[in-house]
Amino acid sequence: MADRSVPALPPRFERPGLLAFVLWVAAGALFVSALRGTGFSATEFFHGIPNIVRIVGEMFPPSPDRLAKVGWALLETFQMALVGTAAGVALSLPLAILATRHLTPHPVFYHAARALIALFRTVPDLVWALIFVVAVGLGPFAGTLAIMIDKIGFCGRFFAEAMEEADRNPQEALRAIGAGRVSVIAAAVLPAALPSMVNTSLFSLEKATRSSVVLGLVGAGGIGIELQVSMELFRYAEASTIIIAIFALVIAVERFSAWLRRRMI
Amino acid sequence: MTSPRMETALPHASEIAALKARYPQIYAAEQRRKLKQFAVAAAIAAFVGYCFWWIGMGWDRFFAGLGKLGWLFQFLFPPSSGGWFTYFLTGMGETLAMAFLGTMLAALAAIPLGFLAARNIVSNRVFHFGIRRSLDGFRGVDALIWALVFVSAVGLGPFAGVMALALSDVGTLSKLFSEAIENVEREQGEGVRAAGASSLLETRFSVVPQVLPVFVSNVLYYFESNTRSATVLGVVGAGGIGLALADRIRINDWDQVCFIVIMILITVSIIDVLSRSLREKLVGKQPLPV
Repeated sequence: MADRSVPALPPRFERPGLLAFVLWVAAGALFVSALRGTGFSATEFFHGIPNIVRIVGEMFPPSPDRLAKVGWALLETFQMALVGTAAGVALSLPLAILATRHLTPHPVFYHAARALIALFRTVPDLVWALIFVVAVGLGPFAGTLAIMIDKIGFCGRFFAEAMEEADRNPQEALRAIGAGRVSVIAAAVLPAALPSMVNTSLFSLEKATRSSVVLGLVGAGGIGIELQVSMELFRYAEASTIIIAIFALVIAVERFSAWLRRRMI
Repeated sequence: MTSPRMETALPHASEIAALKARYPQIYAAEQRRKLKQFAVAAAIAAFVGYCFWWIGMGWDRFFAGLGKLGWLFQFLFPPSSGGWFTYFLTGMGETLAMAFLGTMLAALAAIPLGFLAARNIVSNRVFHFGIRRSLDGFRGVDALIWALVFVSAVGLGPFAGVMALALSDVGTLSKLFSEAIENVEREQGEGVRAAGASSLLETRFSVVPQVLPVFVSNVLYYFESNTRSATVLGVVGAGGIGLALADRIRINDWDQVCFIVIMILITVSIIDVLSRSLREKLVGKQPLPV
């Protein structure tokens, strides 16, 4: 018989295991309850569509009315990102050394530094901006400090990781000939971790540019406030100019950092 | 361990001088390269310095700002909900729902877009370039800006936030999906084809099983990151805990600010841990898609 010589084929479709099945059902249930929780209704969505079409229609062509003002705001945005990142990178270095397990002077410093980094990282930058607007007043300085805090958290974590992953042998060699902690860090740890740290710094500049764009929404300087004013006055053609300008800035910074990364690493 | 070569490996200063005199063109090229590097570095440093000056970031202002921050800190403790605990909890739930729904909608839209943007599925170059650049357009603009647009379009509330998160993630997820699709192994497809499958069936039985874990892991990571983004969308009126937080900061209710921030920290870390363990089960330890 032919069918006896052919071994049974495995089923074409794998049946999900119990855990996977439960997870899929749970995800589905969560999806439905989230739809209800956010008031997401198909009718509202379809009622919104003509509005969206109207707004997008008014956005084109983008109006060049306040191009000079937008240009200056864009420059301020980039300056906030650059200064915030530079200060954040500089300040995160000592913090990262404290947060590196084998370089920290004492476990107390290690845990304190880790906790500080976690706090800086998890609180969103816009919240830092809100807080700094209260602390130092409206304007780009508040935004710069917010970016700096956010970048201390980001770079602190990744710098510490890079230093922990650095090759231990040169460090041991230096220690064996009597080098102190500072010398070991300066002559063995930093050179080994530098490429990864440069990469992290450039990446955080890209991230800072993205976030500096929105900090203006809470009055912390930059182009965000221009966008909000245009949106609230229903000047959608102006708003689209600003959105395009933001997009151009983000892409330009990405290209620049890719170029610098190729040159430096 | 000293080898005899180590002493001879380093040339003496006089030897270097002699070499320099003999091969000036080699050393000149090296010097030109160094000079150029120095010029680029100096230009960048000068621009950074100029920006510091322009923003007005001096030591005095910097320390004054940090001092003010420290002064604010004393009002944070003890954190208190001020009787608004259920309101905050609802806000947090709304934030999570927005993040979940936004990510899901983005993922659903990104699956067909990812296939269309993958070079090995649609090989037309003009089409590929067009779709990739338009995806970049969604990617380059922050969710908060889309939120501003959607608040004008569909009104205040979490619905605007969901749409904003979905739109800003469609670009990124589609790009990641299409890269995953471009990285599949060809052999499996050839095997399926040899068994007589059409190209649609080949995609279903060779591409999809290879990319599905990557897709799910990316989606989980973006859910994680959207939970963070969704906490601030309320600042522009797009739903979630952000509205309560921004209000409390503006009216100086710092103990409640602290309470909300702690709620955010706890929620975000729970989501982080859950999603990380799920992702590790799916694809093993991998560097994060950023």
